[in-house]
Amino acid sequence: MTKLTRRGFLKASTATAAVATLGTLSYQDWQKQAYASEGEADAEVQISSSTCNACSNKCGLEVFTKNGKLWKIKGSNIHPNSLGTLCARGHGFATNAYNDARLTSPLKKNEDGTFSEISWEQAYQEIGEKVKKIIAEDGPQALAITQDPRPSGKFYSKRFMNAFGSQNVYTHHAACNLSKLTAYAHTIKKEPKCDFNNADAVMFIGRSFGDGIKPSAMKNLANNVKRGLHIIMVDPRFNATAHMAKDWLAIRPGTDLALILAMSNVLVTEELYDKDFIENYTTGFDEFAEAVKDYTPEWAAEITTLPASKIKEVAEFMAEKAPKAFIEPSWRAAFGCSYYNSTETARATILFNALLGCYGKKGGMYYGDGVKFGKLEGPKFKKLPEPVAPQYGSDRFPLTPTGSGSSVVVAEGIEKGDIKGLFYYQSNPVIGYTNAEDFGKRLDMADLVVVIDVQMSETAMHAHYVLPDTTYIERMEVPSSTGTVADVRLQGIPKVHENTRPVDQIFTELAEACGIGEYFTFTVQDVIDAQIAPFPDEVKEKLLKEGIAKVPVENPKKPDGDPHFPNDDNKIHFADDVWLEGGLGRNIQWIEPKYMPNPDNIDEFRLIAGKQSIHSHTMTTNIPHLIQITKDYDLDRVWINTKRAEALGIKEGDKIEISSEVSTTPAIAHVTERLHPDCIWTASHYGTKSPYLTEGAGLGISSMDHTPFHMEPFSGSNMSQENLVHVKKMEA
Amino acid sequence: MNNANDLNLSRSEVFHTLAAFWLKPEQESYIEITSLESLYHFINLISETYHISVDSLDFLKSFPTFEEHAKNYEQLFSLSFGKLAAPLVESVYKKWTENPEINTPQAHQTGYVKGDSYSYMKALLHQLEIELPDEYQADELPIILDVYALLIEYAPVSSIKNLSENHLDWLDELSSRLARVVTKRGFGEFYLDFLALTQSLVELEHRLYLP
Repeated sequence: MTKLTRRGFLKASTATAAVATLGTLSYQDWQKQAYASEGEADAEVQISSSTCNACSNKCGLEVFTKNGKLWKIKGSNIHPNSLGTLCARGHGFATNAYNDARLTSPLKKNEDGTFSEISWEQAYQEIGEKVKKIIAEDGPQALAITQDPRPSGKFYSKRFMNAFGSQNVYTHHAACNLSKLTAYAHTIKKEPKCDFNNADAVMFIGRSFGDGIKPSAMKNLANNVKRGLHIIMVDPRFNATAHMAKDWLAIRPGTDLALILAMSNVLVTEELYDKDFIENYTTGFDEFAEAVKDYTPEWAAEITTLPASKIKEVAEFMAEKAPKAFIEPSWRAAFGCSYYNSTETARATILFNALLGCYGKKGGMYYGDGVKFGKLEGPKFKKLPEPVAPQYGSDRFPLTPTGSGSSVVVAEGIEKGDIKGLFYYQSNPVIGYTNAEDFGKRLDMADLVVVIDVQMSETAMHAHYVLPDTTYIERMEVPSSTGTVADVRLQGIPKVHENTRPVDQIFTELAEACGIGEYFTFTVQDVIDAQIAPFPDEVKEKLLKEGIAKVPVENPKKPDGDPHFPNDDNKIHFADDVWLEGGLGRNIQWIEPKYMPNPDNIDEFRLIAGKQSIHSHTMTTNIPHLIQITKDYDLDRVWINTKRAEALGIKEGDKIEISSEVSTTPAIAHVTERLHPDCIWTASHYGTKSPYLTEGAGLGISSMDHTPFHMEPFSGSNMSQENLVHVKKMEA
Repeated sequence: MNNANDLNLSRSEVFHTLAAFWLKPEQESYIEITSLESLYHFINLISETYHISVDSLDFLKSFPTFEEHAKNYEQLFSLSFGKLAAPLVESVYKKWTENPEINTPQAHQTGYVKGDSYSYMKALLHQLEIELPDEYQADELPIILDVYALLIEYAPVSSIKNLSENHLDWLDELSSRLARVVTKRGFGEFYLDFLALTQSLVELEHRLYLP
């Protein structure tokens, strides 16, 4: 290779001059050729399979490329979560691979708070040294990792931390559904699936398929409503699914427990419960009946602001439709994580469903089949060491499943000096899990914070090191499954940035640097091969080639009247001493929310939050197309009830000030009758604070700005809707 | 300048030097191009070739030190810093593709890498049998400027014009973004000035040498 001019830095061949002399390919000619070759019907198309990363549904998708360029994506026809469709998030999120705001190099924080690019070698070396120092001084129990569940991330994060001997592996569940998981863990162990296709009545409590969208679920629900399924929507807000409901119960937020206790009271008092089911599959019913005897509809009416007659009516209706009726297990809102009484509320729904006798019944809830993956055995998968200590926070929250843990209590651990080194994989707790300012301050106290992500999130801003992951569409991942469909993310497009690395490589190399490389002597392919080993050959072949395959089941489970609870004795214990360990009662009881707005204060509200179908928490707020929809439809406005707005002189579009004990933020008002008067509502996706991600800058508020740093004492959830705010109109 | 060939060599050298400046910082070459001797040569070359007054190029005498330049460059131009930077990558400032057959959300939007600009520059480099350094994308400004310099020396006017009109036509957008970044960051005025010089020279190329 010769340089052709004195200062030219590009290395060229001696032929370059000759070629240049003849004239180079014009841009217009190139376009014609490239577009023609891409547009021809028989143009070579690469199709790869993956699962969407825009939310935890992981809908199957097909990635089409031509000439190495992303051509289109569509929902997989056979994946149960997509069934041929993909939501706006799925389409938008795939474009992140090319976004100019992606991390493209490892970064290290400087003393002045700015970041500088460093090499991977330097990053690994320094992180390794710091980790070893922490272990030497405080033991592996001073390390923790939090990850948002995606196939490879979940697998590698857990193995990485466990390889140190640390049990401190956490999920985002403290900000999602930890209260519910805790309730299930100590009743029937695991949540069954809902048989919408045969149900007659479903009560949704704070859950909207149309907002926290899974395309196939929404389609299925709509088809069943057409069939005659009766939906009862219990939500302070008329959400994006409520139009399909026959009843909208605009409940005072935080009081869902009172509603369920009263409904239970009706079924017990009027003997409308399923006596056979109670006899055969439960214990402690008499204690339960005694416990709920005073929770009348009239009592609940005071608390919930729902008419007593309505409470009675829906309870009787559900009983009439039983066992083809159930309260849907929900996700976040009412009993996922939001209130002081969320765990108790979740427990109450499980017991109410038992009164309906819907477990194990057609049209009710039952356990379906899943995929049984092969074990990771053999010399490549060295047995992990025994943990040196229990999971941090498990003594404080003994009821909380350690598979989730409370990622919020970890922040407390930093302040106490118990947790010194933290890793975050694809999770953004600073803005999503609890009060942003508070969490950020605590992170700044840690000796080491490493964030692995694709963009400079609010959490990354508090990191010592930021490592750039590839996007999901650029890599292969370990298998996962939905029902009996197994899937493997195959690489969809060529890697966009040379200096990014896929999650499996990052953790493998980090492990080496931290002295635990012996536990990572395998590749992603090795994991895939081991996990699909039990499948029939044709299934394995399909999976490796197409990324998705149905795994045959010998005796498929069907609802046969037996609930087949995966707990010890196939029974629900209405009364149980296990709850005493966590500070709850042996029997179900009313627990007030931590905060309750004073109705005499005209400017006092509870701030609640929910989802929008075009966004996933804060992951999508830097995707221009999705944010444009927000802007076009003013989706960042804060909802306020019409009458309350009138009393405060607030009109649609007015600028308002929202203040609380922790923050004061401006917002724009959306005045509506579709909201309970006790609360104001915001979508949970806004109020972004990272200066590196500007698409969503200045839009909306984050509800977490007004929620103090606290935890539900029974499960460690973040109590995301336990707050009090004051609202006033801002002068122009 | 004695003849057309000498003129082309001068033009080529100017653009090679521009390219060298916009490269990711490398100490040896940076010190070479910013040495007093090189600077005076560069200023005189620009003045003679493009008829710009020497006084208007005074700002070139205050090149940052290599250490300052390395730090500034990273902070102002690295893709890792999202909207707090102004990457020197053509695709970011243009529609990702003009191909009407592609309908992915980013297809006809700006703000994305590895678009048509990148694909074309890759094809051009391949045609010219030029090896691209690993750490660069094909549509980065220094690459385009260096190829432009090469074409001035060897290629017909049509090729030079094609590259300039189609791949040096995003510098206004780059300048706007850089101006916002410089304001936010509180440093980087020198790079705004150097970019303005680059833009002027591109424009003068058209006016004087690309009819």
